[in-house]
Amino acid sequence: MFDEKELMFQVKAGQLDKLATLFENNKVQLFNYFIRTGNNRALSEDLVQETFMRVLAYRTSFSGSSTFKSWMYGIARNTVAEHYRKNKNQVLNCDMDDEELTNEQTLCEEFEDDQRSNIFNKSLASISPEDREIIMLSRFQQLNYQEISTLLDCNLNTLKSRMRNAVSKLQMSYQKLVGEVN
Amino acid sequence: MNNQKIIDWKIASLADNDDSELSEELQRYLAKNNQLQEELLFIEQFWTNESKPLVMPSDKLDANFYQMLSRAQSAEQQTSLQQNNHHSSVQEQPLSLLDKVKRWLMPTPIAQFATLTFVFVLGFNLNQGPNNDKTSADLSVLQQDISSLTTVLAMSMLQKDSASERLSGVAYSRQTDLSNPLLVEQLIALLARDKSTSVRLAIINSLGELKSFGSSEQQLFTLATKEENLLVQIELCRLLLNYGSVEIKKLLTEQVNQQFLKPEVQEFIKAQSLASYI
Repeated sequence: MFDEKELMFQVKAGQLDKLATLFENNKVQLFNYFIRTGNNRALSEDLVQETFMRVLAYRTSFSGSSTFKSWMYGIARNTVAEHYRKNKNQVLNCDMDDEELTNEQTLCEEFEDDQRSNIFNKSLASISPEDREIIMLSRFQQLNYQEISTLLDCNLNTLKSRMRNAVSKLQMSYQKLVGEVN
Repeated sequence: MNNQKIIDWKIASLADNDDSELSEELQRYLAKNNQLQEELLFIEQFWTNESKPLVMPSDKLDANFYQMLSRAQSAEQQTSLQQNNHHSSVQEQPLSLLDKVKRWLMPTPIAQFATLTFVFVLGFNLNQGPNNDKTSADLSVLQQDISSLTTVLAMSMLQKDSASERLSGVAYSRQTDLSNPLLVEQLIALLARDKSTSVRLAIINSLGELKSFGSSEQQLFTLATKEENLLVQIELCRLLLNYGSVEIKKLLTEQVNQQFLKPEVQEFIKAQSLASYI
């Protein structure tokens, strides 16, 4: 496995070809991060491209005080925030509509797992973007607490508290949806 | 307070941030608290629930990224070239005699001088010897060994999972002048199935080194006509039009006449044919 921090230092030193390895290692996860935050496929691809363009442009500012992933997701968050600031009329989400539950779906045992998975996705989509993000970074992007706290610029205790609250809201939303389906 | 600690512990342990055990006191507390147990069950189900498979981005993302990277690399090279020119012009200022002497006594010039002398003496002796033919034969064997090693390295890199490593494999294969038919076969097989557009484009570019495709020509033609990726299809057509046999060029033109290819590819082939007439 590659040491991403070391590769980023090589990019910083001028070996730009090393960026290809970082791109190949992270493009799918990053693309799915944008999809999960409610962007459509085309926009998510543009955002991945824009993020790596900025990784290249800001390479000299990489200090190595955080992991490459944490630094890259920081850039990714700014990229998406800037995109929506510039395009105020554009509404988040498209693909998330796919998670819409249909009441026709039965709760037969063979569909139980799919059903649960759908309700999880739906409840995740229903909580605030801030709460959703913190859960996603840990659950789907597999960033550890240290990386998330650096990324969100908060201390570990604050992060734990925010995570607890976010999970609690997720659970409330889940229970509400389960009640609706039943 | 105990609730908070237990929930924090549960999330952290599921997210691989904490592998410690819950203290006995908290375990006893948890055993008595049904609501908290339900909360933990929910958290566990959410974290271990099989999420949807990852969505794969299209080849366009790869193509755009590698295009951007290539532009950045050329810009970087130009900048460093300009900086070097600037440096050398700065260094061209007149130096004092003492500085010149100091410069000559620095380790780098001495090492450079010693290496040059060594290479000169070695070359002189080799050329003076009676067994000049034997030396050149040895050199040729050595070059063949290096080429074989590079071929093996290229073939191994072409099998890697990462696209950037496969790209390195394509670069190594170019260094071997593609004299090994097995390597060419592997390159064409990879061209037919690789997911990364950039790897496929690099392979097409390398195949241009062959100048003549021999038995692989028909295979390349089939690939070119069946290809779904527009960029790759156009590059394959360009390759065949530039280096293919007359028969293959005719076959491509027939495909255009019978409108079997995508309109963009047809346009491209027509434009190429026109350019070659001019």
